[in-house]
Amino acid sequence: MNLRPFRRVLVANRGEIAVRIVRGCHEAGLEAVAVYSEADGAALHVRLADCAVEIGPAASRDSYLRIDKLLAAAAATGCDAVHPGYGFLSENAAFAQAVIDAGLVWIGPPPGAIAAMGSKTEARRAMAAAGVPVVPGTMAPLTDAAEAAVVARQIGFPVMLKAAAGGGGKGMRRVDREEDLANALAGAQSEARKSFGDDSVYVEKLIVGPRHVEIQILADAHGNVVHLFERDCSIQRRHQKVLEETPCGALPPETRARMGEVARQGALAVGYVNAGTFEFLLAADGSFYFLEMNTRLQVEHPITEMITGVDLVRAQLDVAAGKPLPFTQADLVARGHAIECRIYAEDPAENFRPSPGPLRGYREPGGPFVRVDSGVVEGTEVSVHYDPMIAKLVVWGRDRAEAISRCRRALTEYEIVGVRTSIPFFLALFEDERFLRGEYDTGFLTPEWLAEAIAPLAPETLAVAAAILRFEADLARRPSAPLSASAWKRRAWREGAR
Amino acid sequence: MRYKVEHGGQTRVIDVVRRGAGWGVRIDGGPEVAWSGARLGPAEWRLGSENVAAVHRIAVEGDQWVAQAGGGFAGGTVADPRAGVALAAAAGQGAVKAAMPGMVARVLVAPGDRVLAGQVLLVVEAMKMENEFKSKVGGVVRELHVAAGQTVTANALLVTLDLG
Repeated sequence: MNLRPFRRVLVANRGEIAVRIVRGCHEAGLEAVAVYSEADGAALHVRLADCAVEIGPAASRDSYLRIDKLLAAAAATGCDAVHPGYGFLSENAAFAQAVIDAGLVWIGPPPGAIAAMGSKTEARRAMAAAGVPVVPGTMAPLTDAAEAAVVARQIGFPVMLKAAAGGGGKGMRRVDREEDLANALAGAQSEARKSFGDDSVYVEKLIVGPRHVEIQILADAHGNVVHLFERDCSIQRRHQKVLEETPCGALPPETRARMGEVARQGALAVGYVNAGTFEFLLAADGSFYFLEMNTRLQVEHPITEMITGVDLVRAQLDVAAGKPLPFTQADLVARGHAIECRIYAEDPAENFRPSPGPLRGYREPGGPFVRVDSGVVEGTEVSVHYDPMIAKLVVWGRDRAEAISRCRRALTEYEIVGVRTSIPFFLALFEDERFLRGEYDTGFLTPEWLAEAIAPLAPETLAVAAAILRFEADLARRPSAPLSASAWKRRAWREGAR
Repeated sequence: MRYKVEHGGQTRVIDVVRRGAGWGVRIDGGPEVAWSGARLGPAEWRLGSENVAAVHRIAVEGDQWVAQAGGGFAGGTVADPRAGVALAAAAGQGAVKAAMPGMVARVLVAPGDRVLAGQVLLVVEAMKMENEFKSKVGGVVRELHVAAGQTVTANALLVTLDLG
């Protein structure tokens, strides 16, 4: 057995995922070193780590995306391993290679596997060759509109144009008619060039009304690969996930088993090691197609942890250290139902417009089977420089109905004063009959739905409360105010409350 | 003390005086009602009248109040009318303000341009997203207060329009 033990991990990330990894390290008896930008000096991940290194200005390109500064921080603190988290440099093969070249353990897949899955066209080719069903379309970037038209006629309209280097909905166009193809291709290419510096675009059949279902896999360095069931991530805004749940109610047991096996085969085909996720589109007729592979830990990994009892970060650390997986496919059982709500600092009443600012009041919910992964505390400034996700509320229930009512309870308990959040959206979603019946696809969340479902409700007593608070603030500021007994009492409870 | 409080699209005039350990409150010139309460946390207060108190998640900073209600967000201005705070200006007589802090990515209009209600005036980047700022009214651009590349704070004045 080829063991590569390490004892001190550089956590090359920020926010809730950095906190999650610090916790995973500590539970494994490892030390965790945080990095932080000038904006994050008092952040929770910095407070929980064993030590921390400042790596530059607030803008990510000057700090969290600087490979040189991260490697210098690892060297300065004697780290012997690096965990990239998700986002930032987690799917950057050059970073993975640089970590390995520096003699450190990379807690993630081999750089070759990251690169192979990084290009959507290459990934489609590799997966098709491994017997994974892919959406019908081209396997290589399009050369011109004439080629696009030939392929589109073959597979049938509507089709999707997609950037080969794509993600997050950029460089994507739906095309319903052949005469619109040339314009859409030019638009997608220009957007792809601007967003990714690469204007390669390919075409595939549009799957109408699909669900976004993904399979979590774990692979060790000894050829063992298991899947940890699925997550349904169909509730999305701007092609980004908002809520995830497992199991997926639209997945018959035999399809679930086949999807899991296909993901295992895909992982084996690219020599995958560590945690990864195969994303699929599930069509209404039960057929499914490979979308892409995420070669890292997912944001929504906790719901898989809830139903399987497997600590995925711990598994990542063990696999990176060369240990074999401690379980086989037959050992893994999914139990109950788990839901994750992404708490974004965004205003759902304004189509999820960003709402950065200070958290004047903040208290997380608790109670049975409720887990909050967050990177903030009361007083934290939610910065314009980073992702708007400030926390993830994760609940478990014996079945979906129990999980939903538990989730609703936890959301109403969640105190967040100062920024707008996605909480009202979830409360409205949990009142929606179609969602409660489990009838939804990736097109569920529209601006029209939001406008209708989210009604701001503020009792008039808030206006009185605002006036009273302002009155108290004005009194406290006036230096000549006589210090009566009641004023003294007021001051005392003001101080006490700080 | 008299305050003008924005609430749910309306402005209420609320008079507050100290009464013992609590307050006397009059809304829009109505009868005085006794309120009492205590601060529970930095942004959490138990407040109410006639022995019926509820927890309010609310904070006041200067002339602004922010709160969480029904899981959602509420807020507005809470101003001392004597301090000369022009609520009319806050209501936006041709003043386009930043709804959030961020960096001005693009300015799409110039002084003298005629703009229509709903037209995009500029784009502000925040939290990895580009956000379009549209004019709520039609008019002519009198002055640009920001340029591309500039960082703006929430409520910063971006553009002044002459209405009509």
